[in-house]
Amino acid sequence: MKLLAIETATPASSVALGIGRDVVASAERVERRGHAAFIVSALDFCFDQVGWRPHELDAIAIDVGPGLYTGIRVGLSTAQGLAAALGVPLVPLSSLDVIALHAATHRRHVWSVVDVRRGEVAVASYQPVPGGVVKDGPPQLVEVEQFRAILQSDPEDGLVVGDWASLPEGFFRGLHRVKSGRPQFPAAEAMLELAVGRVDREEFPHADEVRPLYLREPDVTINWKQYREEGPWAEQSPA
Amino acid sequence: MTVELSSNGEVDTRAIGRRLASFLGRGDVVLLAGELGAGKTAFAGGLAEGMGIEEPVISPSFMLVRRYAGGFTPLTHADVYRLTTMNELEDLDLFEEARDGVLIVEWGNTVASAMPDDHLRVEIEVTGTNDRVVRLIPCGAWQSRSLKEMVE
Repeated sequence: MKLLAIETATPASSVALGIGRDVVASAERVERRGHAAFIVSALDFCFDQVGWRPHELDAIAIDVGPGLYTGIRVGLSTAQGLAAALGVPLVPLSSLDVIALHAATHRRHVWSVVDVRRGEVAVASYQPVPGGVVKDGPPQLVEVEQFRAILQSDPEDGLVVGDWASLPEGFFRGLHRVKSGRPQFPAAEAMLELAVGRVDREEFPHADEVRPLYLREPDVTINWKQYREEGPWAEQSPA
Repeated sequence: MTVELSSNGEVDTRAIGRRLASFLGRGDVVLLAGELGAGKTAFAGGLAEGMGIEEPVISPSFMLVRRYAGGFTPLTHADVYRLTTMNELEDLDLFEEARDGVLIVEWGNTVASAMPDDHLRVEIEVTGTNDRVVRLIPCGAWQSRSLKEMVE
């Protein structure tokens, strides 16, 4: 099975080609901006490395978030376009799952975290099992302080993986049973591993139905009328 | 303290923008308000000129965001006129785009609540066919920055 994985949900963009879960080519770059510029050249590079043509692919894996809005959109639109053109399955994966997969658990309760800014983080927790991790429940969006409280009240020894470096300084102070570890960002290579199983079990939606996983609260509409009537700097109110 | 300046047309408005450039640095956010035709893009063009950007600044209404990297510090010029929701604004990832330089947002008044507290508001009021009043309104940390030299 020839697989392509595209990862642009965090500052670390990566692309990997694999035969099943075995990586045959990959490219990576860590930068918050410029996912779009990276992805096309990274794809070209990887295909060149192994001499594949895109139409040989059997499936495409894409990280749908949570993470950076623009990054997710860039990756997903590229993956969706490719999947549509090639008529192959598109397997959506969560950034948190991809990170947690390679956590060196040491039998600790795993907390996978992705920075979504504005003082919030996306988190999901996982139980260590032989050969991997099993998710406790759906991912949540929590304020940084709230996340700290959750960790503090967790009776198990915890391991925080993902972008914990983006947490405020001193975050871990006093959290004696909690350790932090790698990986810091999700990687396309790890996505291959998760995608293989999904493809085998035919566990994926139609490519057109794949959507970004932002986790953000209901949308706020920009109230243009209000500004006309109350002057340019009228206060914003949720729609 | 609000600084109020008068303009007799586009040339003046540009000049005010050009003068403001010397007060701006990395990480600064400027929100522009004013009706269509008030001179927002002229102001932004002057600002770019003052920042040493030689490329002509054109309205980003269609593109939403334009980035000018040729000056002393990069300028990110955004226009939210075509947006309808705050999520679309998030999608632009403006602060990330503009972190290394100056961000100026046309119709910035409409999205002020999603902007950093520390910003400079620039309001261009149409008072006649060519006459405009340009108000510089410092918000947050901007209140402790002096704009006195903006007044000739």
